[in-house]
Amino acid sequence: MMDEPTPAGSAGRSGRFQGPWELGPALALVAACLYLALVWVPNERTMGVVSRIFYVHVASAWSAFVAFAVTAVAGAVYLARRDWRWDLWAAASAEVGVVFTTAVLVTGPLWARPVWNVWWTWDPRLTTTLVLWFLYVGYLALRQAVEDEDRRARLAAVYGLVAFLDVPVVYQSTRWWRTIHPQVLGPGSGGVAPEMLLTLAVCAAAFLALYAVLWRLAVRVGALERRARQAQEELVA
Amino acid sequence: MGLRRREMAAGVLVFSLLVALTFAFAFDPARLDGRRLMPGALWVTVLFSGMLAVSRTMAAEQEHGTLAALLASPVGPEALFFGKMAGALAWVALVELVAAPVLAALLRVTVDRPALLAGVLALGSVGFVGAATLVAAVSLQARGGEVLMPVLLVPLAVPATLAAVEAMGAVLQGEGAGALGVWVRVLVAYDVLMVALPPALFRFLWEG
Repeated sequence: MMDEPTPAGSAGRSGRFQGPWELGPALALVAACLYLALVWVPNERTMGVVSRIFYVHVASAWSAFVAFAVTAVAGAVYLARRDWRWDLWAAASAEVGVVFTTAVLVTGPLWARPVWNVWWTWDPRLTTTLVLWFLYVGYLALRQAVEDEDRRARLAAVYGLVAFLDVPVVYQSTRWWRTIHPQVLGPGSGGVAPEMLLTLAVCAAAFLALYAVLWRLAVRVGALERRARQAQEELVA
Repeated sequence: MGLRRREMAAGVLVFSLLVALTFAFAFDPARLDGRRLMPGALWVTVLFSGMLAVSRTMAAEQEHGTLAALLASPVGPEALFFGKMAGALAWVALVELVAAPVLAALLRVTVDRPALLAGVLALGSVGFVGAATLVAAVSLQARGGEVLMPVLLVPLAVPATLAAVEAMGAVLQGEGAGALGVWVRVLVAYDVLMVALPPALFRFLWEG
């Protein structure tokens, strides 16, 4: 969080897109993730080729969670400091988080259909992810519906905080239902082959890097939009 | 003020009856087990009517400019939140008082433990109304706030919805304290969150 780019609103060159070099590391990692997950890693014994979607699915879920945590924290810092850049960082993170959550919600059913024989089930993790998606789509809709910059930042920060703190309760409330979601890591899991662990680690790194790149781009777009709006206002005035 | 309240009462109560009636039309109680339908039907009625009541009370403050006056007065934002929440809770309680017996009659359900059902409903309503009061205050300041409000509130209210419906189901099915206790715990956790957090954040909603 500390080496954020200077938003284009306040700086010139450093805010400009640096071309493929900036995307390079993330894209290389994503390519490595895809190679490992689709070609290199062996199939899981019972699920077969379908198991390969697991790496992209889990890596997206982790990135989405990081994104929403950044939104909540940046919103709280905004309320304390009232620096518009924290609001921009929160908003950009929510946008990218919704993209990753959408990826989780698309890859999950694709895996579940052949393995569980249903597209969807009201398992706690599925339900929580779906609610998460609705909460942050709502967050973005709220931002769209407020013109005034300060007010938008305050309202969004308040809603972002309440939404984030609501998530553990959503998870708890859905946990009492029968869980069929596989517990791959941690105690009670069946254990993971080293190749699979390596693939998962590379994919997690790739999707986190992708999150960082997309977040920087979203921040830049947001800052440019803000500068354009200010220029427009100056012209009118 | 008095007139406003009478209009509200008529509108919200009639609306809640219409929602209840729609459930009776949609799910034929002659063919389906009413005890299974009742918890969901009652909670959806409360959810819809509650949203209507909360957003109307907030919007009325906005229209009459009384909110600015209240904020300028020496009462703190916390007191203002709890005041609005108490008012909204009264509306929701009124809806429940009317809709619950009507739904029970329409769905042909005999409630053996009415006090327990009321207690569960009350636990669910407190957290829901806390969240609704905050979300109403947020969405009111946005364009198209009355449409935005349910979009922001319904996902936030998922724990209350799940736990209240399950707990009411446990009461109506005559299940023991174990099945009920799990859901009561969720409701209490949600109530604590939605009564503690919104008043702390309320002051950020009107500034500058």
